[in-house]
Amino acid sequence: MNADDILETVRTIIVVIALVCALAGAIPALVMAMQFLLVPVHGYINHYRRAAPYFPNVAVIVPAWNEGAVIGASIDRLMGLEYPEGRLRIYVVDDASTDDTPDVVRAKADEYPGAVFHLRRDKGGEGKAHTLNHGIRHVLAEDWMQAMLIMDADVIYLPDSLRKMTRHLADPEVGAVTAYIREGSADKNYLSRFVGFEYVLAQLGSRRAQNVLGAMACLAGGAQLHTRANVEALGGRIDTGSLAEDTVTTFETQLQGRRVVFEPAAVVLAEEPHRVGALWKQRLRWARGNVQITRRFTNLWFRPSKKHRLGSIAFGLTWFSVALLPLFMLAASVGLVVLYLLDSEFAQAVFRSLWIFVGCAYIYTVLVAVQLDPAMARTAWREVLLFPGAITIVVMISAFFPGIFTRLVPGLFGLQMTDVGVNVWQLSVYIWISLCMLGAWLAKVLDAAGAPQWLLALYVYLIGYGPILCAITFDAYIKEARGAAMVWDKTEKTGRVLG
Amino acid sequence: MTDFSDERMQAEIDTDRRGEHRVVWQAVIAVAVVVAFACVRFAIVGWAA
Repeated sequence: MNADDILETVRTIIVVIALVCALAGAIPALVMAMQFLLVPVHGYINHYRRAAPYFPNVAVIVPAWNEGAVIGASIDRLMGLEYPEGRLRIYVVDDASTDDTPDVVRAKADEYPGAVFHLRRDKGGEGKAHTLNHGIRHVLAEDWMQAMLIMDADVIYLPDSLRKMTRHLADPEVGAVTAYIREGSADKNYLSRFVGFEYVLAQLGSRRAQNVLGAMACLAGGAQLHTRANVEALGGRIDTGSLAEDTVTTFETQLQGRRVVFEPAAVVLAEEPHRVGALWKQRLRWARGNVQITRRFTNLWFRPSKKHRLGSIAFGLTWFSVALLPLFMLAASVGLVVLYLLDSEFAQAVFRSLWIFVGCAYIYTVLVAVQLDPAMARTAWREVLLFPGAITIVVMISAFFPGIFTRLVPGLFGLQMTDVGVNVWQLSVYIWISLCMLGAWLAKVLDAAGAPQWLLALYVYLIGYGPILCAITFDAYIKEARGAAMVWDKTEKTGRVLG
Repeated sequence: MTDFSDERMQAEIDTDRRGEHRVVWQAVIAVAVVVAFACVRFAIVGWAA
């Protein structure tokens, strides 16, 4: 073998590796498309056939820390739920509040005797799981409770939501049920609308698919209904060693052979962050929790079991397409740039194939999602259109219609792009696939620096909301690798949720 | 609402179960739009480009 042959072999190996990296960029879109192709299957394969009228005694656990402004109204709304009288009890676990929360809850306990209870923790600030465990110990000590609802103090359950959840508990195989958390701020802004559409994708879409797969990734923190048997089987407590206690509970439930069901018709309104900084803080906790879960259940992934479906290939792909999203994006950029440097024509063909597929998957996903919650889609139409960001939309258009930005648009102004310009354009497009994460991180910096919200809104429309979530996941890798302290920050909210 | 009779609750479950069939048509519409879009794209640009 002469030197030329060796060089050619090395080149071929590099091309193959770069091609694999570039194609990895399509995995998240492929998995998202797979999930949304399962959505129509939910029309026929769902849990409704095994549901039945069922009204267990429900103990509602409400963790509260300085919720004096909202807790009274929350209790009133819970007492107004369409549920048989005498079968609902509310336990407010006051996490050593320093405001008037105790007074408000005690007044409500007097107003609803035997239905509202005030449980006080003298030492607070240890996190939501510790607060919940205080309440769980109390309700398990009594025989009355048959099902337990874990919620947040500031969410609003629509009147029919609880009874739509309890009907699934008629099936003894079910351990827990969750609902659709819908963004319900009274004064929405661009970011809360983005979150609203994200919840349509992640809950009304993905969780329907997970119902079909028989493996649920996470019970929503503000809407978890458990059977008593399930709570007892979990050891009568919520895990306190992770930032994703909801996910641990969800996994443990299924690992013990019980099903977790998503009920799309049960709607719970919640106020979500209006500032990038607050969103970052909230999602960093979630993303770090997911990294912890990934490590904690190392022996679970891609190992099918007869007892549960968490080890199925489909669920593993669903989990890792989110958990490894930043790495897929980086791999796509690096792969395309290397291919371009070696063979620009081939790189462009790979890019077009990749992004035409990604684009079609994205269009299909969005079209299904807007029909799943048309009211949300009408409210958030700008955020629906610009979810990946205006720049990424340009990247998609350049894949669908090659030459549109290098020949057609300059030609409209009587200009012609030079070869150098074309090369710079192509490389910029490839690099943007991962560089958008840096742009997203800049949004957080701008927010912290006090940039005007209108400017930040324009910026986020430009770089996209998806890249922000991707960047937060990358930040979670760094924090976990450094072993940063686990801090349970309460998400900043105004308490203005549509009733 | 005070009627929690089994008949009424079962009727509600049946209504929600039948209502869930709509996701099939929503997906069909979405697929049709994507196919139409892809056809337009390939009609304009061609397969090779």
